[in-house]
Amino acid sequence: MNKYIIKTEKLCKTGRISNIDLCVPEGAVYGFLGPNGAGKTTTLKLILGLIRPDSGNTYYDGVLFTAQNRFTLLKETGSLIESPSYYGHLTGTENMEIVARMKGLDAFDVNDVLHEVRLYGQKDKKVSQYSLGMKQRLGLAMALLGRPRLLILDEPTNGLDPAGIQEIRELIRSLPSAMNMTVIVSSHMLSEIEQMANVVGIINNGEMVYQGFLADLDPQGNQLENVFLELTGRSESL
Amino acid sequence: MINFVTTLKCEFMKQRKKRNYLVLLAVLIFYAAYLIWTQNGQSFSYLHFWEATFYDLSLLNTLVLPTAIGVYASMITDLEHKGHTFKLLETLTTRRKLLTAKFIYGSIYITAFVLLQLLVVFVTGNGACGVPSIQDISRYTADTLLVSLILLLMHMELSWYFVNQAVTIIVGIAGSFMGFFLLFMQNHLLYLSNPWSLYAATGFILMDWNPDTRVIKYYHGEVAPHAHIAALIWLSVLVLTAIFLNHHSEEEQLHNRLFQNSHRKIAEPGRSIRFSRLPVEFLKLRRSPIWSAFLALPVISALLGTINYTANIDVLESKWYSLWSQHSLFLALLFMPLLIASFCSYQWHLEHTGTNWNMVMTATTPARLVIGKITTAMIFTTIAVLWIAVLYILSGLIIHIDVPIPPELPGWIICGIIGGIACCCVQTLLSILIRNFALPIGIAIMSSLSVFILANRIKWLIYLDPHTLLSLGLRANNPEMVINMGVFLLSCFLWSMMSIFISILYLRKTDITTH
Repeated sequence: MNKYIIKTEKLCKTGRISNIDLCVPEGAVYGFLGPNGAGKTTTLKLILGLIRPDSGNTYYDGVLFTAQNRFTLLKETGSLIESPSYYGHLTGTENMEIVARMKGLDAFDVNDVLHEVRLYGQKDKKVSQYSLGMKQRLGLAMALLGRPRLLILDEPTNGLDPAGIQEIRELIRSLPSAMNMTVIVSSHMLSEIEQMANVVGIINNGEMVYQGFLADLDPQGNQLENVFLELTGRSESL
Repeated sequence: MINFVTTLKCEFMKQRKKRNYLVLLAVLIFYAAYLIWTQNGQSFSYLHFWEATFYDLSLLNTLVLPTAIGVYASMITDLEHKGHTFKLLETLTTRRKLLTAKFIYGSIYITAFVLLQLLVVFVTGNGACGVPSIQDISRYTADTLLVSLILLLMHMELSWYFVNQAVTIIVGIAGSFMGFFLLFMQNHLLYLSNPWSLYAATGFILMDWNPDTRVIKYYHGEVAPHAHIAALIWLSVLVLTAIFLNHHSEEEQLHNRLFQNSHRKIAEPGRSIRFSRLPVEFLKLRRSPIWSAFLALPVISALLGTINYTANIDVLESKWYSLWSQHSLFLALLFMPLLIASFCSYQWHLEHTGTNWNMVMTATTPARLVIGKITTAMIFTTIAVLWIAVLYILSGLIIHIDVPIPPELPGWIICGIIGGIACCCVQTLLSILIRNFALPIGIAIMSSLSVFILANRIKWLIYLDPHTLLSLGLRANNPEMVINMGVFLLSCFLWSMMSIFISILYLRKTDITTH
């Protein structure tokens, strides 16, 4: 396996996750699966330094992630966590402009990215008037801005219609080859992950229960759904 | 559809754990402190003790309650905007019922507040001076309650229609300011032309100060004739507005029609994107006119100050110096700190909203964020202070003050700006620590008011409170006052540095929370 762009060592956050060893190979689409409340968002927030671990480390390209180098490492990372972040009283373009300016990027990219997520036609509307799907596209556009090497998407297809889901899925699938990106995408929608990811991690009750190639998960060719339910102990989700 | 009683019950359930009443409680504590303080120190003519107390109370109410009620109303209403609950609630009940329930909920606390205020008055009056007549008590209670409810309704409506809570809070601050300033005008029509002067206008005690004997006399009389009629007109206008504006159920349509027409212009598809050169924190302020208050309040202050100066020109003898206090006293002492507090609250409210922390903290560093926002607040404060100076010189020239402009003016301005910066830093810290929009503003109000009242007795207090450093630097209450420059600068420096340091450290060290 090639080198890991993200590697965590025994990441712990009391009451939420324990001993998470997440290994994301470069160029992969890493599907991060788990029932609701399993700790997916917590793990992703820890990786981004939005919250601090009680113990454990995160390595970006083998470099230890600390409070000091946090911003340098995050410059090459785009993310969409929980639901999209936006300033409702501003237009889509103005929101993009703010993110771009904070990241120190130029204007050219904003147009391209807005085209890519098909929001260009709506870019001059106030975001408070956007539909849920449009807000989600805006969040994706913000994450894609600056062509980061690593993209962290927390349930990116929330609120999108079937056509939108397919579109975004194709986009995510194309990113490793087209843009040299590595993508971590979390979801509880198994079919979606099955179609996008080549590596998966399955988390349940704050612990990693499986990590590896999707293809290795079940050589017998069982449905991912059955394997998933088996691994997560068919427990009631939160 | 649920009935009204259920809507009201739900209102009580919704507001649990919100501790909105703390705002009113803080005001009560302030009243108690003020009453104890004045009664211990002053040689009251005990004959007129209660008259003097009722007179003072009507002034205090004018000064404090418009802002306090604005903050309180905003706290009651804002939770619906924050949780986007209208889309759920409107499937269960009507907007009218909702607003009425909220108003009744608020009224109950306001009534309790007025009654407790009376209790505070009696307890601090400690029985030494007899008891006021039942007539006076009931009249004071009824009037205060009536005016408070009018203001509550007005602010409820403002915080209801304008999702941006800065609107209602700025109106509250401006109301306190206008109401208090108009008290010095002695013009009945001015009293009745705005709802904020009604506390004083409905008063029934008059004061007479004899400049020769320096004796203050209080006696019963009408402050402004027809004040109650004016109050009822205000009340009916507000009730009608509430009924009319909640007539339509299509919330979005109404909202669009009322407030968002102006945004149509912006949508011109196909325009190429060009970055503006403004700093990023300025970009976030586009289309929220909160900054305009930094220009508007000095204008109001200059107008009222100049009118007051010309009206009392025989008493105010120090020409430019007298005009300076007229222009800057209340503005710098109370309203600029409130404005700065509102501005900082608004800036950080943007980040506290939704999941914005996720985006901001991955895109930029805490240090850049804090410095960016403080710089923005500082720039507006500086503009406001310079604007005060410009208006001051203009007014002086217009009314032909025939001596040269004071040479100390540049010094006042520079010290004022330095003091204002300390205030910006401290409010930034408070707005980071406190996610609530109104609470940091409440703290600024209480802090500057307490010092305003207590400064006569404890001289060093004005150097200690970050909210009064601005007025101290401007020498707002006494242009000829000599300040201890070393202590002043040290205090500004320490407050600023400490606030910046803790703000950045806090953002670095704590886990971000969204929602």
